[in-house]
Amino acid sequence: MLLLLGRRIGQALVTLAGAGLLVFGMLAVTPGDPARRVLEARGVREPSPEAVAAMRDQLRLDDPLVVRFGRWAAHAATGDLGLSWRTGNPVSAEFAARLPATLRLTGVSLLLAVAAALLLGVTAALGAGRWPDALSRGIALAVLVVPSFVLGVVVLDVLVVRAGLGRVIADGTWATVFLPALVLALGSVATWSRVLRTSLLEAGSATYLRVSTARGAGRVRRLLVHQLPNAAAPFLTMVGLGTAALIGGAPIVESVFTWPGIGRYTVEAINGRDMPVIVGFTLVAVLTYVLAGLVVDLVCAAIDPRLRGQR
Amino acid sequence: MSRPSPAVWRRALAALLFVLVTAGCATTGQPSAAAGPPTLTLATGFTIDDLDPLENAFWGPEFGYVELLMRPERGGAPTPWVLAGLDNPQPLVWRLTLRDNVTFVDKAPLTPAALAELLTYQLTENDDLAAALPGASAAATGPKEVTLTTARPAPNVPALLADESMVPVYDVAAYKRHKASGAPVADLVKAGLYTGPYIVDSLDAQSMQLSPRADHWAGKPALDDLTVKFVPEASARIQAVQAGEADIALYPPTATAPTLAGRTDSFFVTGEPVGGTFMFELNQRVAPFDDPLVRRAVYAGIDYTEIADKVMNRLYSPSTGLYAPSRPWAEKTQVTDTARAAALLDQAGWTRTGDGPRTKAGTALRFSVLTYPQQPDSDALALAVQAQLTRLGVGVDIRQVPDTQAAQKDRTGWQAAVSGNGFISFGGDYLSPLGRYLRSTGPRNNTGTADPELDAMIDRLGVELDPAARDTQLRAIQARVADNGYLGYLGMRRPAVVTGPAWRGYAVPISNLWVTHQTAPRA
Repeated sequence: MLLLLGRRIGQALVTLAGAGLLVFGMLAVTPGDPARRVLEARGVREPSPEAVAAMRDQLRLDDPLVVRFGRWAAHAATGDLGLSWRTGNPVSAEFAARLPATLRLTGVSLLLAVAAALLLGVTAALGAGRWPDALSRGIALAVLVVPSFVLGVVVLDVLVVRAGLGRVIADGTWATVFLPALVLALGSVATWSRVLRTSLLEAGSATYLRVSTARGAGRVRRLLVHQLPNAAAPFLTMVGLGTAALIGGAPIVESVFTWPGIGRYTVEAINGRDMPVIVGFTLVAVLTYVLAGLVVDLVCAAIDPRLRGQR
Repeated sequence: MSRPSPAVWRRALAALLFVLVTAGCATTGQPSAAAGPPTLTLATGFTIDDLDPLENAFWGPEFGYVELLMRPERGGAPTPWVLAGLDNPQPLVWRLTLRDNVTFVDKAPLTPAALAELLTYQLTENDDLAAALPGASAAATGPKEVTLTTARPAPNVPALLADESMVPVYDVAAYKRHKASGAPVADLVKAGLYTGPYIVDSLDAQSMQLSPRADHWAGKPALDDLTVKFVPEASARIQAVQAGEADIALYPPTATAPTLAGRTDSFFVTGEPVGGTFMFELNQRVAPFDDPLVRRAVYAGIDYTEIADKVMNRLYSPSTGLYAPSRPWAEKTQVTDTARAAALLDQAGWTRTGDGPRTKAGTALRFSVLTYPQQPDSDALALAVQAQLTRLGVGVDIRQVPDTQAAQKDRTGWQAAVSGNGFISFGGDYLSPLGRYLRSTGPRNNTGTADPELDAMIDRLGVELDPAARDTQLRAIQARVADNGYLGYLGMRRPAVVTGPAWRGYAVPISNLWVTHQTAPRA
């Protein structure tokens, strides 16, 4: 177990370094002068050449790229993600201020997604080949093919503007979390429910279930006591990795619903070419992904003894 | 490992369902009920980070908490705002006369000494102002008077004092005390630095809350309550109006106007433009635009009225030249005349047989035009130009690039571009854009205009203080620009907002001055 943990932490560090290098490099070759972007993002509509030159000097944009990356990486290793080019505040502090809202959104979204996936997956497995299965598949397909930003706009128009439910401008509180969380969750529900259905049906074909049936176990008991625990590993893997994906999908949903979280802040940073914020968010997303993968591995190993010996 | 009992599973499922249901109940948060006029909630696309006068004061005049010395006007000549008067008794001397009873929110009066200190501080700290008025100085010279002395005649002083990014009125002494204290910038909310009719009570990443100031020099302002919400997504701003969460949504995309037709909960309200919105830049360094006849033909071959009325559904006004017709010096230099355009192309040697493209020495007359995604209208305009010039036998390819300014840095790597640049500043400054876009050494002279005579005309204009002579010179400059096909505009976008029913009569202001002392609901 310790060996597995050490190996995964090493992989995580390499992944983080690679991701940071990649994103930093891509942004460096993005067309446009970051100094001009920063000035425009701060509302200077026609920055003068002198102002642009001064900003380039302030941001040390004329240093070689390798030097800039090295400087940034050294600080990032200590948790210092630099200063936002737009606001001049520490990126870490900006993220920290918005983290509670993002955690609230992703937390509720995760609960909704798990609940809905369980409902759809179990329903489909119980009614495999019949109308509940078809209905579950139809719902999954429907929410899968509609992009979250389209779904968000439609939900706002139908439920909020027309029906008067909820708010367009969410304020990050529990009272306004449901709609954005629902939209964020739906994309995950589709895949999670289908994986759960397949796993349940596979578990349902095991021979020990015939013994259980012979001993008088009903359909629901067989499902909940025998099939669901055996189908949990792949489902939990999907949920774990999907949790990281929820963080990655948050910028779009947060922007559509004006949710005051890290995601919306990052979209604003992208528009303003605020490189420290963009790279910082990418690192946070990668870190979340790696940690989620690690936790899933450990949880699955704890649930399923067969996985403990696997490398 | 022992298996969970059925009871455990049932409890787990019940807990999940409980969460689902209770979270669902949370959707019932209703929009805040309108407190009744006169209140105003604006939804804007930009976030105001703080109240630092050197960094972010330019937002203040737009939302009523900062004032300027002069007020921009539609006709072009700024009028006194915080000042009672602005005179130019000598070529290098401007006399600023203060109003009575102007005080900052912190109760300190705006004295001549405070105003002189403000001007001096801004000339030191604001690079743009220092560049516009090099060598200028200010001093208190009377009980209500400050004298601004410039190193050379500066006819654009009124416009500079009406520009939100130049001299916002704030208490410099209080600001210096704040800087010296080392307190966080957020503390400026309580510092009372400004003189505007509204006071900022709170500011965070989501919104700004303002209240009226009873002791304002012009009396209590019209609104009892003012809220500015920061909503980056354009569709969310409009939906906020439709849901009653905002009264006015700023910066609506032009494309949303048709979607609001027939609705009773939101209205696309437009105003009159004060200048061109989209330049049509032709690169004189490369063919075919190295020939002035071709440039003039292209500008004459474009139907500006069709663009405004049919392509942009009357959300634009037709371009007639470099300036809006409301400017006293505006010349109608852009006149659609396809026969004249064809004759110019014939004269340039680009001939046509039948309906095909014009050719010259076996080469077809064709050029590409740059557009950019940040301004979706640039694509619509380019498509219109493409269709119109095809009738003349001129082929047009449209090339969308991430950043036109970056693409134009390659001086010979582009032929034409649709660029969102105005030709007059927020304060009404007509000099700076001329120098920026048309002077041979101008920092944004993308087209490669190199005309010593035009440079000399701009220089003469730069020291001309007499309005009548100024207008004459500006007309001559416009004529020279048109005669050589140096620059043109494709359209003037009407400034627009989306309002709720109570604000349907809102008069869309110039220079983004969304909230003034008099702003009140008008259905």
